[in-house]
Amino acid sequence: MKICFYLLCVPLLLANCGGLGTIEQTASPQSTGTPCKEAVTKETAILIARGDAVDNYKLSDYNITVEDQPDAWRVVFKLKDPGMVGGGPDYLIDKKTGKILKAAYYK
Amino acid sequence: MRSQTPQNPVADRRCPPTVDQIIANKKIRAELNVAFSVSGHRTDNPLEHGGWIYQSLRTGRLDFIRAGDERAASGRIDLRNPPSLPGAIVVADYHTHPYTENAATNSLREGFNNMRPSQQDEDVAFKVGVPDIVVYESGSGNGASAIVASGVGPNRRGGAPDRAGAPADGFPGNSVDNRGCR
Repeated sequence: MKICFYLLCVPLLLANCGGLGTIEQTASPQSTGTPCKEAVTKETAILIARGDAVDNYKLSDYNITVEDQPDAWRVVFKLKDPGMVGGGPDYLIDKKTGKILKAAYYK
Repeated sequence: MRSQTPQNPVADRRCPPTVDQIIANKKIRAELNVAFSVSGHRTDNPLEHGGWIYQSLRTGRLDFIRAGDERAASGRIDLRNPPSLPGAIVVADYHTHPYTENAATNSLREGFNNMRPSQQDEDVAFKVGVPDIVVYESGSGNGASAIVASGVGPNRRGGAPDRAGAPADGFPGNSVDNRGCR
């Protein structure tokens, strides 16, 4: 159920800027009719990361921080409770395509 | 399970055992295997399991208590406030790092070799003053997959009091100094 939510949500958000699969093939912004500086917003990057992490982590235990890098969003999950042993995933997500460039699954 | 450590017995009762000595102990090694096997590794529901390792003050023997399922979750486990074992002290805690099959096989990821203990695992172990032994699968990417155990934090109970916090949550913290142990 959770996975279905992310699978539905992320493509819809990306569609606002031309869609996940069409960004790289678009010759010019005019052809889409929806000019966008970044196809993947910070909020969308969080959704992509949450969608990937949900199988391996109890997401309600985590705070999420996002670092704005030149070509990617770095999305880091940190445990809210510093007394627990464990860890969270750390993602690098491409700003143009939404592709996960790198994922480290700390536990 | 392949141990990354030499098979040395716990010989010196005056000092708590090192991580190597704990992992070399047959009873403890068997428990690390069992804890990992019940953690749902490579299933759709991986849950970290773990517990505490004790040493008898009289005999020097090692024993363990596995934490209840209510402490386990996916991605973390709460090992604070270990239950007491009469005549024994906590010399380490342990927990597993299970993952879904997809996390291992997705080509975007770095495989199990990337699934190392977190910085928080290490920080907590130093703070509470006892080592944390982590059990995980390693080497799946190069065809040499094995279940391994390794320690983070101090090398033995009280081995790094300068990095420990105040005693809390049933752990010694900086109240024990075993830096002189060899």
